[in-house]
Amino acid sequence: MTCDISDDRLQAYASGAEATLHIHVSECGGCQDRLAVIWGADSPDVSGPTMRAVRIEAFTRDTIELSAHLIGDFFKALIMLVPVPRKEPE
Amino acid sequence: MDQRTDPELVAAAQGGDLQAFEELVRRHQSFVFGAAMRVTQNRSLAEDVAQEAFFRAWRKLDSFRGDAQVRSWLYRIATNIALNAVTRSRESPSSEPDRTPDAATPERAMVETATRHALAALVADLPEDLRRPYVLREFEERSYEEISQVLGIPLNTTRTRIHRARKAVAHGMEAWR
Repeated sequence: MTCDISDDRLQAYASGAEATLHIHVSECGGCQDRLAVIWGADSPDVSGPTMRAVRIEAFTRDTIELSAHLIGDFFKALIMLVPVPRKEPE
Repeated sequence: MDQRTDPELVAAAQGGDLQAFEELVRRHQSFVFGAAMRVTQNRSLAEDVAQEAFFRAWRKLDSFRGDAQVRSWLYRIATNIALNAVTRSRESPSSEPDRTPDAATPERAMVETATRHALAALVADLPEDLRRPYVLREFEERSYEEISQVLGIPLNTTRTRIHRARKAVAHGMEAWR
């Protein structure tokens, strides 16, 4: 997608001084590329803390799923093992 | 560096590949941080927003539509979180209650920036049939007749849609007054 947004206008948008480009930027890959360059100059590395939170969440989710399976299997086994009382013939 | 494309990384991450997701984070973190910084005008808050945005993206990976751009998707998530963060900080004043922000303070500037972004986000959320005439009228200052011609809709419909869009935006901006 090409567009004719000037560098000055995009710089103003990047700094927060221009607000009317929000819709355009949310859809324009070209402007996003240019903004990535502008914003990339002085950005911190957030991948470490982000991935720690993601891994904890993934571990918790897996543990809950595993627990659910184990409990399910336990009750299945219980049903199989417990003898069903038979009716005595009259 | 991972050579896979964004959609390939998303597909892998949807299957539980955390390394693929980490590559997405590394690839787009500057952009997401910049988008957050732009709204919050606060570096520390922007870092929190960027982390939250990626975390939320990971949780919502299953709902990601393959036809959308990953960066556009992340941009929307980050902007929404940033706006909420600024709103919260606005609703919870600092520990100095007697300090009223005036026009020259950074707080006031932040509120003004956040208000502008809230407006932009509200406009972005308008349905397409309302958003287009509204943007042409309010931001590009076109006449009703021009808008009617550009969009190929009757003049009365143009007026009605702009009126409805204004009402929706005004309603959404009530919290900012």
